Amino acid sequence: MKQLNSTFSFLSGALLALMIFINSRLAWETSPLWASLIAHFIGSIVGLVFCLTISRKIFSKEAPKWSYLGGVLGAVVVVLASMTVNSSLGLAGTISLMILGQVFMGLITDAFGAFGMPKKNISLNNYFHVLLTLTGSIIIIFFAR
Amino acid sequence: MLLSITLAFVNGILITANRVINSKLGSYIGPLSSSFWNHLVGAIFLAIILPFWDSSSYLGKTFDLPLYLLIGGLIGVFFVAINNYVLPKIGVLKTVVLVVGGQMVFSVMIDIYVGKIKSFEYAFIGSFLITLGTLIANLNLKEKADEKS
Repeated sequence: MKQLNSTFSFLSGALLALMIFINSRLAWETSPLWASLIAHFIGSIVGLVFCLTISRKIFSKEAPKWSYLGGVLGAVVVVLASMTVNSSLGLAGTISLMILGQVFMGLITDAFGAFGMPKKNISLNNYFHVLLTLTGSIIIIFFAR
Repeated sequence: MLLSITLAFVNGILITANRVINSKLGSYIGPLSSSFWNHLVGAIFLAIILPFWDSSSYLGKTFDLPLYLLIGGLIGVFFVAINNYVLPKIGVLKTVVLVVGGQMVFSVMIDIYVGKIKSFEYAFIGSFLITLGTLIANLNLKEKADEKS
């Protein structure tokens, strides 16, 4: 059973890459903004069905109002990802750099405690994380193509 | 090329900011409902700015496209659902490493298929280093959790 869950997790990563690729193909046929709109529109319909059947709690008054606005960033993310996947950077180059950006931002949030997240100490492992992700991205972008 | 590199990197920063905001909402209403708001607010935001950006409408063309091009949003919601189901069962370390590994392996396969990656060897080494980095960073988390317990 544990192997099955691990397989699911690995496949969900593959699905994430497939999703970015499909959205970029749609952007190629239409425009990055339109592709992001379609992805978010379909996502909200499917999301609503999931909410009503599994989660059931859709709204909370206690949640800060700004926490409902993350989707504005999500919309921009799909637009930018489509643009870079369709450039010479490609899918793997785009994803490796997006992971690098996430690692970098994660480090900043930990170091300064941004967005109301608790401050964490930066350890040697964090520097290795940045170094390995940076090296991997450079190899994929400048050597593999 | 430099522009694409900058945009992809900045996009990663946005992804983390987006994820932090969504997880804040998710702590009140759960990750699936938080993903619903993420998609809905994104769709509304795009519908508002679209007329100022794109001069032509793609609505007619969208119906003529092959159906698989429209399932990006569906996959996004499924990803949240799968992750939500698997994470408590196999733990953060395995989940994060497997998701990053899955992303790298599959994106390299697609890039080889479309001809954007020529060297499998270099792509493999690069993907391996990125996944290894994820492993090392999260081992740290596990140690800290062990220290506390």
